[in-house]
Amino acid sequence: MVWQFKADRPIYTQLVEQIELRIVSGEYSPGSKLPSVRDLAAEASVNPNTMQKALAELEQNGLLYSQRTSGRYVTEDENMIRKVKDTIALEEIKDFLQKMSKLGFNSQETISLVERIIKEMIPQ
Amino acid sequence: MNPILECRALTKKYGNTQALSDVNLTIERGRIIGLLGPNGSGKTTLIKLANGLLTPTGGEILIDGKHPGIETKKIVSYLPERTYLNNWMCVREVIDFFKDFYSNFNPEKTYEMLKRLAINPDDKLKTLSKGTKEKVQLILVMSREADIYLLDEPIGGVDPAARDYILNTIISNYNENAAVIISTHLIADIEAVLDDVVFLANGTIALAEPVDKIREEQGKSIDGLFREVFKC
Amino acid sequence: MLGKLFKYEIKASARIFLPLYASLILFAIINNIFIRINNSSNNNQLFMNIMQGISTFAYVFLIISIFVFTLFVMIQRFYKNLLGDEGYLMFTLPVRTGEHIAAKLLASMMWVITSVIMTLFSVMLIAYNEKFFASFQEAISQILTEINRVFGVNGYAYIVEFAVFILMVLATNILMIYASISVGQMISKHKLLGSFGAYMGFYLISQFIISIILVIGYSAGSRHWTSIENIMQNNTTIPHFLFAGIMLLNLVFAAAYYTITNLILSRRLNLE
Repeated sequence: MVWQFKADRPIYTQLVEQIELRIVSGEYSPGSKLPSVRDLAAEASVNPNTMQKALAELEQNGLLYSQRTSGRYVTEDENMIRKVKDTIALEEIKDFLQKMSKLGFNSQETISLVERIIKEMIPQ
Repeated sequence: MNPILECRALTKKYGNTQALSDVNLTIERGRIIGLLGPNGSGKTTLIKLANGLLTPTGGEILIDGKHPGIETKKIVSYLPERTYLNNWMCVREVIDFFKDFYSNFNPEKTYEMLKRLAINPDDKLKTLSKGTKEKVQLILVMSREADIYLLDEPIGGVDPAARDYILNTIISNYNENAAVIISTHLIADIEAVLDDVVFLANGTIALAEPVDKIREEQGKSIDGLFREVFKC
Repeated sequence: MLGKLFKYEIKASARIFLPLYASLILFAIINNIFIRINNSSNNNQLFMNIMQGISTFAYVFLIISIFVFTLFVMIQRFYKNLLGDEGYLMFTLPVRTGEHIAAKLLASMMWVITSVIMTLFSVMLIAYNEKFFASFQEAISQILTEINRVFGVNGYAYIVEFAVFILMVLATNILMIYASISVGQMISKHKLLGSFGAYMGFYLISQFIISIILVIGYSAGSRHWTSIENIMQNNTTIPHFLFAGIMLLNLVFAAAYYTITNLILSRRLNLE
């Protein structure tokens, strides 16, 4: 996954989101150790303080935990990860449904469209 | 503890030109600050004053609570816009020069960074391209364990890949005891690396805020805000 | 720090001087050889004469070049290293401004003295033959005896004083050049002109001051001046007082130029 930031939103909120994504997608697997703040910041090309802030927030909400001497780790609590995954998915779906509604589709039409596209995307 | 840089009613006049008027600024350690402003806004003057290359006409500038002098030059690492290296030495001799005069200079770091950029320490400076010389200069400046780094247009004349390398070096070098002040025009490229920004206009401070605060409150990037504030 | 600055100053300028000195020695040796050849053989007279002529010309040219270069490098090092782009590095080193000036001054003096020594050495090389050391020793002892005869014990003191005097005058002149360059760099658009103007100014002022002192000195002490020679031979104290006076005057001028340079470079540095 590549780090990508929009210019008009605070970086640290975007960092929180993108790290969450990496956690729920398994890129940072449960229980795994995260790179140091500085390494992560360098990887994302962002300010280390900002990265620190993002990581601190993720610690706050339980996705990450830190061990004083050895660093930061992804939680092993799979339920929590599942919950975050679901929350993110829900947001995406809500967004999508709103957009479809703006385009003029009702719920039935939207569902049919989704089913059709999924069938097309699965290799025969 | 003292802020690492402090300007109190700082004023600088050249003949009839007022380069800086009544500038009040406090910079804490552990921050990366962008000093932004159009040409002639006073950015370079401010940096030169911090270096002791100029003396204030009024007010004062303090580095770690002291006026610019030998003690402050020991803890300030300065990258000017131009090449300040001579052309008769080879890279290794310049490294020895820095080692001779700066007790907080770390040659191992220098050699490591040179190796990563495939620059041969035995090359004579005059055989290096302009871009390579600039990289060598940056490496030397970042190899000092200073309390404040003053970088004047560090990514100015460099290609995008080199730009990334330079920003990466600045981030990796970060330590919470030091401050980094970057003066530049290329705002979009470095926004994400900055903690705070200071807008200078006509020798006064137009704005001094954290980056994320601006993005949150104004819903635009620093680059966008700059264009607004300094519309021609 | 001064030692380190001096070291780098020498390193930077040695690149120019050492090859020059080497060439000088080389041509001195060549000339020596030509002289011997010319003295011993009678064949190809014209050809050898031409060769010797060319070689002598090259040699003289080298000597002149060395002194021109010494002056040029002195100015150029000060200007380029402190007031050009390199100044951004030099003046942000944790070093006092005065140390920069002192390092350049000492290096310049060293090169002038070395140039003189090299020239003398090359002359001796040209004159060198089997009887050289013997005649050289004889010449030196003759000179010393003569000095002794005329001036007595004072003779040795005069030699020392003279040497110190030369060094002092050298330092003062170098500092005068540095002060002029410093004044010039303050005037953004006309640095070169400013430097020349400052040099003229300093020269005129110093000459003026010296004239006044001489006039005062002469009229105040006219009763005592019989003849300089008389004084130097017979009087053992006045010449040394005179000498001390001249040295003091030079010291004052040197200190003034140093201070001017130091103040300007500390407070009115105008790097582009």
